[in-house]
Amino acid sequence: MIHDSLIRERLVTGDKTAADVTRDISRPILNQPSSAWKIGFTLSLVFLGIFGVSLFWTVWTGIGVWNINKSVMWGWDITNFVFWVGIGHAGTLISAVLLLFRQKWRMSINRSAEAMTIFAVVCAAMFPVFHMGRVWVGYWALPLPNAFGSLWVNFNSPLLWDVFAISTYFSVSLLFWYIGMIPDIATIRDKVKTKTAKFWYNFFSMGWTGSTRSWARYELVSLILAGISTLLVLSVHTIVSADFATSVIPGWHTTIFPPYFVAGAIFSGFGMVATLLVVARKVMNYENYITIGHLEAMTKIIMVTGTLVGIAYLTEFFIAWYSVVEYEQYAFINRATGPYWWAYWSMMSCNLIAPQVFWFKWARTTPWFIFIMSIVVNVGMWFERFVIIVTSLHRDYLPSSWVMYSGSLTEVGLFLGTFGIFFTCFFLFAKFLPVINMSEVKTILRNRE
Amino acid sequence: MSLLITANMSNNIKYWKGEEELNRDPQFLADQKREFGEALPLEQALSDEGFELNSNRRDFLKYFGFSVTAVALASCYKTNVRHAVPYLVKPEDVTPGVANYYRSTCGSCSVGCGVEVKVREGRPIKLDGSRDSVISKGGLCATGQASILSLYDTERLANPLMKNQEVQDWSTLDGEIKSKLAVMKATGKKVVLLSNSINSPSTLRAIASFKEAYTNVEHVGYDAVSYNGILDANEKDFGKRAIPHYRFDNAKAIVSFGADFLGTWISPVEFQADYAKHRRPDVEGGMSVHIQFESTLSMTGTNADHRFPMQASKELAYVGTLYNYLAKAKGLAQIPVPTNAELAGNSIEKAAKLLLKNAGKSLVISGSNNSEVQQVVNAVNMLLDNYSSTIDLVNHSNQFSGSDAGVQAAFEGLSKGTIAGVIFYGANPVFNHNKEWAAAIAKAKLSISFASTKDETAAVCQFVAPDNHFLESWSDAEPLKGIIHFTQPTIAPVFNTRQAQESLLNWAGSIPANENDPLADKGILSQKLEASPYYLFVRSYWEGVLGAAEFQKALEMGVAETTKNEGMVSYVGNVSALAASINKSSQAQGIDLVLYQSVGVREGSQGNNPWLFELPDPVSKVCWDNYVALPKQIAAKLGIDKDATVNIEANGVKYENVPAFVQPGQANNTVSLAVGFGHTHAGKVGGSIEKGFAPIGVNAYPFMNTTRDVVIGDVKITKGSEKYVLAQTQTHHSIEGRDLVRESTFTSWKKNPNAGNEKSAPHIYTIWEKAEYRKDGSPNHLWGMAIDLNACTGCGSCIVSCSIENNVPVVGRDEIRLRREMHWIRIDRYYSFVSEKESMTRENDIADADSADKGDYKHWENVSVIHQPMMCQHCAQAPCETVCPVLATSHSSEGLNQMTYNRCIGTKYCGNNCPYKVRRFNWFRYNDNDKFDFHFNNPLGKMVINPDVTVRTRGVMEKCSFCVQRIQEAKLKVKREGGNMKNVQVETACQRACPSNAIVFGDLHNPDSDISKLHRNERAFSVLDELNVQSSVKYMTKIRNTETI
Amino acid sequence: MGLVDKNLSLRNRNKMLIGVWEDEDALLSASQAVVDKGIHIHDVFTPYPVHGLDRIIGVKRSRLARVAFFCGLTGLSLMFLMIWYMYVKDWPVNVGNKPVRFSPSWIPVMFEGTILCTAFGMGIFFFLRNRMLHGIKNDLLDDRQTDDRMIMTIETCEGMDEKGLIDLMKEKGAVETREFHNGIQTVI
Repeated sequence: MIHDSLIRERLVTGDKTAADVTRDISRPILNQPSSAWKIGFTLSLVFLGIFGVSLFWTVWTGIGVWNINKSVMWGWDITNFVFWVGIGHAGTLISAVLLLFRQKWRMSINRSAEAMTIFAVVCAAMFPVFHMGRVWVGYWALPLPNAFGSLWVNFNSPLLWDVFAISTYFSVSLLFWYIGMIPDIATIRDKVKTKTAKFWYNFFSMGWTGSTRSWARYELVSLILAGISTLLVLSVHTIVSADFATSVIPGWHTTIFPPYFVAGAIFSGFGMVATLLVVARKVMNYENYITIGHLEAMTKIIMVTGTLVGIAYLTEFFIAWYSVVEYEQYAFINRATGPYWWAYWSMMSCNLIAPQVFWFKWARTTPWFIFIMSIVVNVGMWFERFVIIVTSLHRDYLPSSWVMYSGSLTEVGLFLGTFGIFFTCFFLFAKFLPVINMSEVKTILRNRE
Repeated sequence: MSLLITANMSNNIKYWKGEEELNRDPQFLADQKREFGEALPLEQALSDEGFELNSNRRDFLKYFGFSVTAVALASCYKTNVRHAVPYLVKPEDVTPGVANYYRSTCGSCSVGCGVEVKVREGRPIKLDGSRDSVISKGGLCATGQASILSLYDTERLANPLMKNQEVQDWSTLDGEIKSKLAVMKATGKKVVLLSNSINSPSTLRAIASFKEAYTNVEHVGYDAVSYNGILDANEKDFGKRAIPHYRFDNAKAIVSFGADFLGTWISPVEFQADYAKHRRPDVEGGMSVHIQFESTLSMTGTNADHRFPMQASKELAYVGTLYNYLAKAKGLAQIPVPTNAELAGNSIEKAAKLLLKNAGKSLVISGSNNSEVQQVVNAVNMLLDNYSSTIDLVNHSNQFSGSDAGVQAAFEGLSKGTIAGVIFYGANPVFNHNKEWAAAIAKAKLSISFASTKDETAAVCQFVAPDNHFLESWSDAEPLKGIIHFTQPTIAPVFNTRQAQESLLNWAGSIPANENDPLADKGILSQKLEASPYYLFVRSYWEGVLGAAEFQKALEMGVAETTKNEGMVSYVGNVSALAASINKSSQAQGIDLVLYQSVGVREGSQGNNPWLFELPDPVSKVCWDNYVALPKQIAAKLGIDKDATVNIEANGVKYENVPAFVQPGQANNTVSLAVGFGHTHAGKVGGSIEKGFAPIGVNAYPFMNTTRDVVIGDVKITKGSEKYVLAQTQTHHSIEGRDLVRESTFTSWKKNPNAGNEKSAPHIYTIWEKAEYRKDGSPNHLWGMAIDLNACTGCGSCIVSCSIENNVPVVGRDEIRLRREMHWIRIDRYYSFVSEKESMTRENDIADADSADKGDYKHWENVSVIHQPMMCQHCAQAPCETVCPVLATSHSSEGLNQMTYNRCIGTKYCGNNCPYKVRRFNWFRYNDNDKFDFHFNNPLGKMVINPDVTVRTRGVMEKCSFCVQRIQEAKLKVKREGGNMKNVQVETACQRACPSNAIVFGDLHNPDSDISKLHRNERAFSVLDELNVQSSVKYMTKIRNTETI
Repeated sequence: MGLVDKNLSLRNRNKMLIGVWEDEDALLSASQAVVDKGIHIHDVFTPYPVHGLDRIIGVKRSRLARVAFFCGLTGLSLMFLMIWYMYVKDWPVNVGNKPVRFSPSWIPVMFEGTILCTAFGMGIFFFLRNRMLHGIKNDLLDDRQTDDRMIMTIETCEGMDEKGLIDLMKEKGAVETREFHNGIQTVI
């Protein structure tokens, strides 16, 4: 009943034993941080600083320091929000959906993907919070009785749905991530020497011993969590898309948004995972765990989802024409030919056209090229959100209120700053936690069918 | 509290709101920092739903229960104790929280509109037109509305100035001046009292007695923007140097040559009201026809049925041609000119035909200050026999009577030294006459200014005896022969100022004895003002004319009538003598510069008023600057598109890098520039050299020659080296063929009252129930608004009125460049470019036409314009409400879309989701913020704030509330005094201000109300009906009377 | 039985026989053999889930799935009640004339609530059942059992042929066999 697979190439190369896996994966945790890590970490701290400054300036003087105006009241802020949430989704997707589909190749990348999810959601959350005119009373968006008589919240508002969706998404992802990490934390616990390290890893390992009973429950829980996370990830981006789909603004008021946004999320998410892993596998020399095979699998998904969103773009045009609503029609013609044509076309070329290169084996298997493409993909997806938000708002119903909008320095600073948040978290994660799920990888050393 | 402001103020500029502040009472100082300085008055607190005055036991129990709960709740929440400080001596006519209204006369220009001043706790906070005034007829222009702020202007002089030194007591000043005057009288040196046009009988009498005392004094009146053309022409033709009273209410056919009579010409408020009477299609006798020949696209031009661009310097030729057409038709002698000048499509001939059809009820006017043009216009009106109906020269207008020759003579006298002394009263020639005035004044032995701020002229005068603001003054006005308006103070002088008339009387030594002096310094407004000597002067005169009882009544009503002239004027003019100059004019070459008054800033007397600068120009929608308006042809030649500047030179005056603006409708070979800008001594807002604030725009007055002609020939225009971005509230000007404004023509309307509005309401599929507004079972109010696009002229009076009423902050040029103006009501203006083929409303079509054009750009000259006031539509199914996560905006039981500021967290989703884009966001804190150093940033300016409306904090959304505070006021009134809301007229600020009554507001649940009738009207349509937001505002289809010629 | 799985604790038990494997397949066949002899394997500690092992040593199927389902139901109903109370009962407000009763706009919030309760409810029960707690003292038999070694524990009882069992383990590829009593391990 047990025999080596003949058809698949190994998911982990280099004839690793379980002991090797433990040693390799826990090396960065047990050793002093490498100089590469130090440089990267300092750099991210610099960006974190940029975030701090821009945020202080915004909250201190008022969001008038952004360039949003009477017609375009959402600009870079919500663009970045959707951008980061989208990125977050790939993490959940890789770990959850691929787990449901029993895709073993996910095993060596899901840990970092989940981490990415959590950090991305943190970045995303910054924007809906700090785009508020009076952020100090932002908690009124929670269903609490307030000091002005127990006026509650508006359950019709997509923004309120966001509050629930994003918080649920964050906490559930965190739980999923943590439970998945407990056995590895236990492994580290039994490897570390220093007292403090021992204490903390012991603290978080929650007394894990690897009993068969625990493993049985562990696998069941992972499965169920995977199941609901899949629903969750779909619902979250559906709700994010509802921020626009439920409005009356031409270009926003579209029923195609939920699936289109989800596809876009997977697309950008895998883009980001690729960016991170191509670097990580080199820097932390995990080539044997994150193989070219993994990268190739991801590029395939990028190509498919990219094509999906591309089709969505075209469908929007068709529907606008078909609707015979002049405002809708104008909104889309204006996207492609209006003052913001450059944004539209960079979106098109980055998201629909560029990923088509992955039809070629070389493109799918050349790390440096994949890295460049993954950046292109994320640029494209940022522009997608910019196009949806800004070009729809800057010319809506009454031509008298048509305006132009371009981000101010503070807005740019905030956006760059979120990368600071993201990478700071990621570097800390890479230093103190196993970037690859050891216990799972150990199960596929033999590459069973 | 502010009642206690008295004349004897401390010398450093400190405006104390009450004795507590003067004594620096710690509690008061603490209170100051809070939103509500003092607790709300009892009346308001108790005037709650279900409050009756005859309270029985049950009520007592209710209140008891309420107060117990209230106390309980209050004690749950940490708040500081607040004390309401009562009046020491409560004036019998002031109730805290209840406004008093006084009739007075607007002093912002010499037109003399009757106004109603709203006073809260002794602070005038709003000006509206008086319904008993034949001039304002209930409306008031933007400039007049805004003039209330110059009362609270920090630039006002707190004390008289002697050689730029402040002096506390007037007696020293008076002593100095008297002695100097005496010396001059003795030595027979000439003194000139230079004023603007004065139509106040009492003031004229004061001046007269001053002249009696000092026989060497000569009084010269002049106007910054002169009407001498008309005055001289009438003197020549009728032997009567006066401006006639134009009766637009009798005119069925109006032909105007460049006269912006709805915006700035003579008496625009009155003219708007009269004009609007005949602009509604359903008026009996049908719509009037309005033809406008003009070079720059004026607000009046945008309202014309037919507008024909003409080169300004050829105006004389064109009116001559019109005369000849009429003369020919009547078989009279024509003016002997070789060829008649005609405009494209023989429009002048068409106009002539139309006028003949309407002879006797037509009106031809010209905005020119050239007496020859006006003579021909007189002749034309004579031919049409309009002097019996539409032009009343018998009971003429006194509004403008200045003499250009006089002021020129005074200037030359001063510079030659033949005039030794000069007194400026309401005159600022250094700013609005020629440049050399400063030098001339320096030569004078005695120079006095009555200016209330240290303006350009005052700055170079030896003495400044600051005049009161008109809201602090007693006076009167006779705008039309026999029509008297009274001015009464509504607040004690804020500073140590004195009415100019009083000063004159004082110097003349003929000041009336003050009877009830003992009360004078009790700090009690009524007695104090009654004690003012000039009041006694005014009273003694009018009691003589009207009788004591009548005078009191007149004072209350604000108006009175005296005897009118009888008889006719006889025409003695002869136009054939003008043949030569008509011929010359028809040969005019080169580019003309046309100087005009912008609708807000006007001639520029309120140089420091932020409301006026923030008011977008009705046509160009530019704020905070004047600019050279170029026709497309010239712009194309210079290679100018947008954000450009030009260098302009004419009459030896040259300005470099003046902002340029390509103005559709601008006639070829004419550029225009607004006067009234470019103050150098206005102040923080308007620009002040000594304080280091850059002037706003450039001063165009120096371009005028000695004849004060507003049309200047052969100007040189070159492209400027710099770029300049004008602050505009609207940057897209074509309606893109969208069904947002509906139009039709009078003829088709007569056939079918639905014309233009045939588009039936879209078929709606909805899963929700229809909105119902009921209170305890029975139907509640349902407030709605109707706006008649035929009546709306786009003047923007509503914008300023709304800003004042609702404490809308001023944000300044840079914020408007960022498209962040805060106006709750705006007026959308759309051009459609008319070429031979069709009228183009899409930017692409226009761009195509431009690129196809050979350089004559006819479609840029022929534009048709529509104005559409736009404010919150109070949708029953409001998109903004559904998306607010915290229920900060919700729907009231009276159909109001209400904004709860203190619940708003500022997600701005509502603003995004508003299809009309009428929501405004507080991007910064606009009060107490040095970045926004306007009236909200100083204690004096804040006195204009309406206490019934919250001043919004940073980070919250705001928008039109249908003046909910006024609705509430009306309801409370009904509760207190009984009666039925049906009979109470609730008026929104915009409606109250509108000179042409374009806006109607009321209860849609009352089937007989005007508003219900209008909403049922065939012309009524709502914007973006297809979205099924069910707006409460309906617009009346615009009907143009275009098929008549 | 109680909420916490007692089997997970190795305290105050009889003497235990311990076999250590480093190869997954050997372990599987060994445990199969032991079970075939009719001996109850107390537990096996592995660094990673060895599939099939639980069935061999007879671990009952976990009921966490059902727990999750009921947590989900609770979340759903809680959310419904919350919205109903806030939006219909306590303070109905007219927003854009939307009906003040259940409408599709309630669904997103209810859905998210369901997911949240499912995840965390199940998570909590998972920790309880597994006797997992922050900083709890762990019963490690070998500090490589989370690395690459697999530990089989058999609780001895009267008349058990311990000698034979040890031999069986050895022959089935145990790299090491020990005896564990009162917290002391002795290699045999």
